[in-house]
This record gives sequence, C-alpha cells and structure tokens, in this order.
Amino acid sequence: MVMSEGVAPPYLSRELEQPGKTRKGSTSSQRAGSRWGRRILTAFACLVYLYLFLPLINIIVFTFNDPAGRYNISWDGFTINNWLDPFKDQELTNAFIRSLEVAVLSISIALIMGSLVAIALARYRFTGSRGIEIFLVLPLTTPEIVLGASLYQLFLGRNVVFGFSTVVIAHVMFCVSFVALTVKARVRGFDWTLEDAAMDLGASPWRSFRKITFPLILPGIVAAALLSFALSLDDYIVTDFTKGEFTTFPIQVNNAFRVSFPPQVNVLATIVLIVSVLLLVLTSVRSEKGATR
Amino acid sequence: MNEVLLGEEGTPGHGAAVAGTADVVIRLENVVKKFGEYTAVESADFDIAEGEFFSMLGPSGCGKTTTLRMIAGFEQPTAGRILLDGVDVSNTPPHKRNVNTVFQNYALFPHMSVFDNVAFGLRNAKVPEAEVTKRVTDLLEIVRLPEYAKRRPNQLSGGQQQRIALARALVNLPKALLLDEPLGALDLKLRQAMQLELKRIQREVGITFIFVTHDQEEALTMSDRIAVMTQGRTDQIGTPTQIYHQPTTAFVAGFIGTANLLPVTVRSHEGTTVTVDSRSGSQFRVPSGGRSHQPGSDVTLMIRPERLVPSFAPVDGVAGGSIPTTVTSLVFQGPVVRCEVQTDMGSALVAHLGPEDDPGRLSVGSRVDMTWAYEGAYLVPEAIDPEAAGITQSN
Repeated sequence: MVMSEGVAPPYLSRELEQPGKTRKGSTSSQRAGSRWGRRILTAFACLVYLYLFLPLINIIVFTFNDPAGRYNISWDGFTINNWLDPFKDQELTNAFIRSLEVAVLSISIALIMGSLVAIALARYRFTGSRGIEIFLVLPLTTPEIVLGASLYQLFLGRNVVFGFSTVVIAHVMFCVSFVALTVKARVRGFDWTLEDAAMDLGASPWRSFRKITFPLILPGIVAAALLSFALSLDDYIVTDFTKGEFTTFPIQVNNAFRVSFPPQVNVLATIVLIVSVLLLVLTSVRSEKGATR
Repeated sequence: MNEVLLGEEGTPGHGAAVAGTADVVIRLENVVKKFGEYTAVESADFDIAEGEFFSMLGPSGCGKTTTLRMIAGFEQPTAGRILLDGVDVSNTPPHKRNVNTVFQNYALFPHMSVFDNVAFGLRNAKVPEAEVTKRVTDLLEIVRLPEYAKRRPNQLSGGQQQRIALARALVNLPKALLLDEPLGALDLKLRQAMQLELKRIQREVGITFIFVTHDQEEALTMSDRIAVMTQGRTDQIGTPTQIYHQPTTAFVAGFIGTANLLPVTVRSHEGTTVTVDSRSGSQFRVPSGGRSHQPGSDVTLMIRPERLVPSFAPVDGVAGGSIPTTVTSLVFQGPVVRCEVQTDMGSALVAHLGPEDDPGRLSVGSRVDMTWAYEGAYLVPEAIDPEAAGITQSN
C-alpha cells in the first residue's frame, strides 16, 4: 500500500520525504484516505487546466486542418498549407493590419498620457488628485456596452465621421486607465531622491528623467503596453459602436464566420498568441535578470 | 595621483579662527526657511572655509538637514542669502551649483554599474570619455574599491555603497561636499571605521566637507568646527574642544557629552575669577572663561563627570569647590566607575571615577563630599530651570 516516489506528483514529494512522518506509524486506512484525496485533487486540477486551455489547443490544432468545405470545424486531414499562406484571405489580412495600426497608434498616445498621469499622481499630492484616481478606475469598471453606447451617442450628436479616428479615440480612452494604473504601481515604489541625486550631479531635470527615472519605470511602461495591446487588439464591443464602415480584426472574424470559416483565422490567432506569450516570457526573464544582477 | 586629480593638496583647517584666515567657500547670511507657518531654520549665519570639515550637529528637527538642502539647492531660503565662492546662489537650481551631496540612503542608481554611477557627474559635464575613465578609476582607488567597477550597487554591502556614493559625489571636484547623516544606516563597528575613513579621504582630496549628524561623538571625532543647532537656531559654532569645554548654552553643554549643571548666582567678578552662590548657600570660585559676569545674574555651573572626584581622592590643582552628597549608584564600566550621587538640594550628579579616585571606598548610601579642581568647572552664561539641574546628556 506504500505509494512509490515515482508515482507521486512533484508537489507531494516534499511531504513524502519529510523524515518526521514515518509511514509505519499511520494506519493503512488513513493512508488510503489521503491518497484518494490527493488523486481526486490532482484530477480536478487537471480538469481545470483542460477547461482553461482546451479552446487554445483547439485553435492551434485546427491551424493544421485541411477543411473540406468553407467551415473549419471538423478534422478533414493534416496540412501545413495554412501556415505557408497565412495571408490568403485578403479581407481578413487587411482587417488584421488595420487592427495593428489602431493598436500601435492608440497605445502610443495612451502610454504617454497614462504614464504622465501616473507620475503626477505618485509624485505629487494636489487638489483633486484623489478624485482623478477614482475617475481612472471608472473606465475599467464601467461595462463596455455603456462605454460604447455613450461614445456612439457623443459622436453621432456632434456629426463626427465614424472610422479609424473614432476607433482610436475610443481605444485610447480605455487604454489610458490601464496604463496609468499599471505604471502607477511601478512608480509608487520609486525613490525620488534618485532624481535629486541626478540633478545634484549636474543633470538637468529633463536629463535626469531620461537617464534615471525613465529607465527605472520602463518595466511598468512595457507591462502597460503589452496589456493595452491585448485589450486594443481584441476589443469588439466599443469598436463596434465607433467603427462606422471601418473594420478591425475581431469585427472581420465575426463577419466572416457568417459565410465561411477559413483556417487562416486560426493561423493569425495562433500568431498573436505566440507573440504575446513570447513577449510575456521575455519581460519576465528581463525583470528577473534585473532583480538578480 | 592627487596632484593630477585635485591640483593641490588641501590643508584641512584647525580651530574656529579658520573662517577668518582661510578663503570662505560658503557663506550663509541670515538664512531663514519657513514651511508654511513652521520655521525650520530661524537664522543660519556663518562662514565655511576652504578645506574645512564642518559639522552641523543637533537633534532631529533642529534644521540641520534643511540648511544642508538649501546649500545643495533642493530648498530655497525664505529670507537671507547663500553665497558660494562669493556668488549668490540662493535661487540657483541644484544642477547648476558646484556642490555635491552624499545622501542618507546613498541614492545610488540601481540600473547602472558602479563605474557608471561614479561617471554620471562627469558625463553630465560632457567630459571626454578617456578622462572619465581615468578620473573614475582614480576615485575608486581613493575609496579603495577599484575592483568593484563592474558591479551593480545592490551587489555591494552598506559600507561599500557608502564609499561609492562618496566617490560619485567627489568625482566632479565640488567646491563643497555635503553629507546628510551618511553613516546612520551602518552598524557601530563599521560606522567608527568609516568615520576615520571619511576623515582620511577628506584630507586626501582637500575638499570642504559639510557634515550633518545627530551623533555628537561622530561630530567630535571628525570635525574641524561644529555648529550645534536646536529648534532652528545655531547655539554655538566652535572647534570640538571649544564646544566641549566652553559651551555657550546649557543645551550645548548637555548635548555634547554628559554634563552636571547647577543653577548658581554671580556674587562677584574679580580678575579672571568669578565667585558664585549655589542654591544651598555654598560659595564656589570659578574661572570667568573670558567673559564678564554681572553680580546678581543667574548663570549655570558646569562640571564634567571626569572632573568630579570624592574628597578623599587627590584633587589635581587648586580646589574649586565641594558639595556634600549621598551615593545613589555605582556602575563598573571598565576604565571608569560611573558614580551617581544626590546633593542635599535633590539634584543628581554623575562622576566618572578612575582607579586613582579609589572608588572601592564608596558604597551605595554612603555620604561623600564631591569636589573639583578650580580649572574643572565652567560657567555657562545662561540660567537654567532648577528643575532641569543635575545630569544632562543627549543619549
């Protein structure tokens, strides 16, 4: 009835190796009970992971499918043709490029605005700074449908032409909050005497920001950029309200699904997935290096 | 190396007169600093000479750090002027002043190597890279950490970070180096070692050091002159010897080392000797300390613990006075026995008794007359509250 070391999952091995816990002392029924408990726990954990990752696995697997009809939903045979020609669907590709354009532009604007807000809030106490902090959280807690509808109303009432610029304005709006909150978390731990030290050593205020403050809060800004990128790229609801005739990748995917289901959707989605995982790994490795160095 | 780096060997000044004879580097003219209603610095008015090791000493909240920050340029005076080399810099921003600071927490740039940290000031001044390398290497040599150039600050111990902060602040050869309690974060052993080290480096580079501390021992050990500050005021400026032996206020007497303070009234002043009446009615003869004392004025008699001896022990010199007391505590402290006694007026006094004072003859509760030599007493020209009489010390 003794559980062999090889079978035990790694998170249990520490307990098994504890010298104080002699196996002789415990009765077999106790051992059986705890063993079954552990097995159920393991199985449950696996199910949770399966639940979380099944859709992603499905997306990746079906990039290699060779669908018989227009719908890439049942396995019809293996091919790598989809990967060789990911931009086969012209409409989809164009929408993808437009989404990237929207993301890059709105993130650039949101990063500058949000970072400045974060620095101001962390560095200075001024009249209304508490109010600003509360207002910053609002766009995150407000349901997107409310945000989208109100923007739609606002633009429509002012005869604004819907399109690229209205989508960018909308994306900047919700990204600013994310950027400001993420950067603020980083800036809060910042030692402002470092800026004093830089100026003391003859650096102008601008130079001490560039050489000292900016490099030190950069990890926060990078994290904010990644987060905003993901938010902007996959936003559907707010974009739908503000897009007019303009289409972005998520909109196009949804439109296309009514008439066809090209495997290129899976390929582009997988590319986005891989890129974001790579960026995530890269930043965590970098910050770990920075911590140990 | 020094010749190349610094031009000439500096000569640290000696004594209070230094400001009068040597070149004045920094002059504070009636400098006042208020934060809203709160007055942090009431009036700072003194000169600091070239090559001097000058300390601002006082308890927290006395205005010493604010004064330092005004010299550095992080704060602007509410009134008065700060002159650096004769030029008014009161409102010049920190990056345009030729003074550098060693911060309390060192404030080393964590994302830069030790070399880049030290080179920062030179690169701001657009010094050619070849000379940067040479001067940084020289400075790391002076602080004795040449092999650490490639390390990051967080890979260094507290004492090493301290030296790098020092090197970084010295590399631009400032007119004055400002040090804000730089030894506060170090443990006792390291702190004592760094005190000597700081003094050595100061002699080696010959730059004026302005040192802020609340630790009187630290100030006494390192300084050429000390400004003792309290509640925004400068109580006394003088050499360590002067402020220890001739304090001008009761606060200075009590803050620097341990002092026995007794309220007395001047009876007469003849020549260099003042006769005073104590509260118990005894009369003591005390050196005038170069001041004239008005008969009838209330002043304070100061006797340091090492000057107080039991009457059975030999007095070194002419007897100055004697007080009947009762021993309340005897603590063996190695070189001395710390003996606390109580006068019949209720004031507690402390004596540090060496072996020649034969402390073995005393026991708690025994009656003894405490005496002192004529030279061992000093009159502080300030009255004290009789309640505050007795042992006074800062920590």
